Amino acid sequence: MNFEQILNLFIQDTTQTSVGLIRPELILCGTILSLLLVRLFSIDRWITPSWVALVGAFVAFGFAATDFLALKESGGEVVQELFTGLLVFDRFTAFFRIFLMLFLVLVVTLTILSGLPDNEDGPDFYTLMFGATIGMMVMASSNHLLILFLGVEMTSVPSYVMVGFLKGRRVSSEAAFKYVVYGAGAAGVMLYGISLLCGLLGTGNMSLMAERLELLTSSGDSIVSGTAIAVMILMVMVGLAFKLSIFPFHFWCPDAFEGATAEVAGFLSVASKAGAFALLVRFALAFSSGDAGALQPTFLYIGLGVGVIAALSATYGNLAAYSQTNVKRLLAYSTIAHAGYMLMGVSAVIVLMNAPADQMSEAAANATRALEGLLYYLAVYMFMNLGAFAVVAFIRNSIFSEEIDDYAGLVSVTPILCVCMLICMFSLIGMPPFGGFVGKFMIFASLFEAGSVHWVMWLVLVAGGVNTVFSLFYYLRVLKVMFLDPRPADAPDVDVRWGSLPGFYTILVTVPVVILGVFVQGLSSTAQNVASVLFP
Amino acid sequence: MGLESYLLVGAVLFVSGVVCMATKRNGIGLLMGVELVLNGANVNFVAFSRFTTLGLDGQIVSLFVIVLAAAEAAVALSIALNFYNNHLTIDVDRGDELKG
Amino acid sequence: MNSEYILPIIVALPVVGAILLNFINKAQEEAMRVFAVAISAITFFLTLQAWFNFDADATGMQMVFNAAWIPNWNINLTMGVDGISLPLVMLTSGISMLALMASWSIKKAVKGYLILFLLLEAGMLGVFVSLDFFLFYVFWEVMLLPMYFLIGIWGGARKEYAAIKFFLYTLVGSVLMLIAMLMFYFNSGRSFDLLYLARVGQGLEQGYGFDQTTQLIAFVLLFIGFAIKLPAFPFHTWLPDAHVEAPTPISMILAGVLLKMGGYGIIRIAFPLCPYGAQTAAWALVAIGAWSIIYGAFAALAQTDFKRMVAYSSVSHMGYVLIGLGVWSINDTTGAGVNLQYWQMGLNGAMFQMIAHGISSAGMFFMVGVIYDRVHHRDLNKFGGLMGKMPLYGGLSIGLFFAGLGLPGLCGFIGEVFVVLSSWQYSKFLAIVAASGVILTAGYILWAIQRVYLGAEYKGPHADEITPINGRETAIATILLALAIWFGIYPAVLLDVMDGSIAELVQAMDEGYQRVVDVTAVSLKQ
Repeated sequence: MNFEQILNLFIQDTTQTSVGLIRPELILCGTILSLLLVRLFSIDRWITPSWVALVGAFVAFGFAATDFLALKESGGEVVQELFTGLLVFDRFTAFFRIFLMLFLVLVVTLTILSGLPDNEDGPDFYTLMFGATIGMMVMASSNHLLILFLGVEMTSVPSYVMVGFLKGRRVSSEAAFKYVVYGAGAAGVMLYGISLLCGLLGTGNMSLMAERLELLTSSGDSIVSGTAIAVMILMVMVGLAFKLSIFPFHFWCPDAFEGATAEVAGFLSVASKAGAFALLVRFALAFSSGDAGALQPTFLYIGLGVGVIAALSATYGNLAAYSQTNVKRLLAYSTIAHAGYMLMGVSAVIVLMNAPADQMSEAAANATRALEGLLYYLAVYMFMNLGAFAVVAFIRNSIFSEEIDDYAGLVSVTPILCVCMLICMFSLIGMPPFGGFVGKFMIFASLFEAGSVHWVMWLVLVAGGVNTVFSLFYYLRVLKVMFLDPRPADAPDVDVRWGSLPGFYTILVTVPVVILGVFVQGLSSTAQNVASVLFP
Repeated sequence: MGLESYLLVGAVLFVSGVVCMATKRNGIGLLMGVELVLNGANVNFVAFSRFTTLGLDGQIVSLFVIVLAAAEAAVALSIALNFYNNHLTIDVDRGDELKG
Repeated sequence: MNSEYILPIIVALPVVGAILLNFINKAQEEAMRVFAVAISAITFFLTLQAWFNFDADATGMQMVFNAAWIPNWNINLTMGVDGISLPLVMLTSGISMLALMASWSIKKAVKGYLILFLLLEAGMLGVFVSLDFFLFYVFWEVMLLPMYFLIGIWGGARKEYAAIKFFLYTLVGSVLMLIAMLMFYFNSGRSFDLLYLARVGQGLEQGYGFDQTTQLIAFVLLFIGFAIKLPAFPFHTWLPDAHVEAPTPISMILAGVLLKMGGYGIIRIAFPLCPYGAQTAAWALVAIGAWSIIYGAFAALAQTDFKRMVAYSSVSHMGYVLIGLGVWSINDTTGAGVNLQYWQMGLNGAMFQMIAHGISSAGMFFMVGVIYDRVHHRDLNKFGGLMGKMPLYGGLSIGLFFAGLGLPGLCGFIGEVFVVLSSWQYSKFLAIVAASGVILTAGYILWAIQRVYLGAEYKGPHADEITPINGRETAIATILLALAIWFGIYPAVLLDVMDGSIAELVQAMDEGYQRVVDVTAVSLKQ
């Protein structure tokens, strides 16, 4: 082919298929541009940047929703590679887009209600937030190792700045500095691992990796050994583990959450995890071609390792949360623990997909159910974590403190926020009838099923159960202070009542937690449908 | 000058970068370590592009990485500047108000 | 009314009541209390109607309601009652209504209290009617949230400690139950239906079965979970704190209803699904039960706090339940049951003891609460002469305490005598131990009565606050005493309902055990 033919092919591919399928990302880019133009042309005297951001997020959510529904109508068997194989558009992508857009709308609303960025800083803040969200959507639809790195970086770099957004606060600057140092280091190690993988397999395209791996191992080439592949995969997972704040790459998380404002912490704790989990699932499944190859034992052990790390992460997060006095730091450790639970779900998927040949008969169906559990958990996690951080943000606006002891007796002052916090925290513990219980149950069920492949998974299940009990203490401590302790007489008032906008918003975010605990079938079947596209 | 030599150079850069990140107390030094690691990976990419079936992909990736490294360095340096404005030091160990 | 929907309505009505209660202005405390009592009274009358609709001669579950909940995971909203659960449902709704009537002593945050109480009642009713293991688990856990706050906000001096201890113990038991639930789910082709799982466990379903190891492990996990609730020694340590620190109505609910869930769980889930596990562990059940009786009685003897003494008496009385559940003797060679009519008698005794203890301990806690509301202390050595100052109260109390003692003619006697008689066949030593528990029980109850009600004068503080018992309190106490006398004189009203289902259970477990033992023996031979 000569150059002109390649160019025409490229233009055709881009304009006719690819651009049309990335409308949400394009809308967000357009919003970023309008935000910057709003400030440039001083239109922000008439239109607040926050509203521009909200409108942009809504429109993007609308497009993501239409895409998802259109996919559902058409039967949804589309697996369309975009931009010469760099991205992929399928049900999984569409699900994460709608998830992230909904979350973005809710977070932007929260920042409007809590008044975090003022008019002057508004465009900057929303640019960063939207940029990070585009990065997360790219992560969820990645099909190439370059995009893996690009997506992680696109998410991380704006996050570094968002953590340090309040320039004058000492803790914010320290938190951002530690975060950027950690993040850059992890990204570097991940890139090195990617370079080795690309070179070894001769391609960066994830959908081709499984075949190339087959070819290499079956040809008896001595360069390739299970250990070498495992080391490379682990290096890549270092970067992903950092993004997910998994032990032992979690050290940035408590500091970053404490230094950042509650809204930013809420955003980071949910959205970047969702994108990173989507990416991790795609990456892990890129190596499993569905039938047991020569490297099956290696991948099985990688899955077990991931499970053990997940159990350690959950245990560490739950135990370290005991001694916390700052509620955002406590929620940061709870984030680490919940990332551990969700990673247990991922490990179940990996183990089930890499079962020995005699147990492979139902592997795809079992792994689909395991992934369904993870997706359900993520959806509930979005609402319950956002609810908790929203409550923290609104209380902070009134009492200017995030210490747990300053929450004493709040139930007498603002019962709405306290009841919503109660629902979110009981859901985080994993109690019925809230959604957190259903998500945890699904993940535990998938762990049990994976245990029939290898017994270590049963130990991970026991660790998960034990950790549920551990987590009881520190969540109840916050609730005990809010509900049981008397309010000191000189404490400031928190003016969030029935009918006020913050109250209404908190209820709006908390009600799905209850709904997802009772009306399980809808999201469950959607999640199963979405998950099945990764297991052809 | 086979593939192995280039990979060796890349590995040396990677290891020096990691050691730099782990031991340096000066924030700028730490970021230099990060750059070393990223460029070690770049060397790998270009070498693989020349010697294996990776083809043009490797060179494209390394171009992207250069851009990303620059963007990341800019952001990291601005955060370091902010840290300096607040703490009057660039020493990483001196940030200890966030503990536990 | 269409009998298919009566059970969901019974469970849902308190929830609806709680939601409606939200809209009453929180200043109108009297209206809220009356509304809550009305809701629970309607629920009680619905359960009464279910009682009259119940056909004691029919086998299997009745008034079954089935609706799909999460078809993806084969989870259904299956509810039904049989002779085992129906008396407990009636006990729940009855004691809840009486406890709400006793809640006039709660003065702060009345609205929150009533809402939590109604949610708790819904959870308790749901546990007893669920026929789907997942639904059972959800209702079991749903109770924890209201209970934590009911103890933690309206409780006594050490309420936070007691509340979190209660929550923690129950949560540990629940996690163990969850693991067992998953074991059953995956070994039965993905089903949570308790009736289907029972058939699988008894070897009646082709293609699926729980082998001996699975049954043993699952039984141990379930037993620990239910023994925490029962409570059996050594998992009982949450009970004295929770019962003592809880406010009076909540103590009535805790002792009257919540403890029965442990026994109910063993009969409904642990036994039918794991007959092999149950038989292997039967001696342990009886031994733990016997030890609980003695331990609880001695501990009660040593108490100086009136409420704590009653709490330990609950530990002691629930030991009888455990013995009655465990006296299953088999012929060691064939695995067939021996003298199964004694086991049936034991089970009947255990079930009856649960109902009787529910009534008598709720009564005892209520009476303690009546005097505590007046004098604000519970020190047994500082009472005395209450019979003179509050004669009606004294008389009703002595009646209820005698019911707890197990005086013939009152409800506590029937359960104890059935259990002791049935255990004689199983192990004469343990039967003697159980019987001697009666002496200790008489000891501490009579001593307490002597210290509190008899005597010449009242030796404690706040003597001027001792007013005679008022109409509401009299009503509650009279109802409880009347039930205690009625069940004591005419136990057939309960036994007729229970016996059919218990006979079914005994037969199913006997055959199931033989099948499980045979299958393994057969597969070993091959």
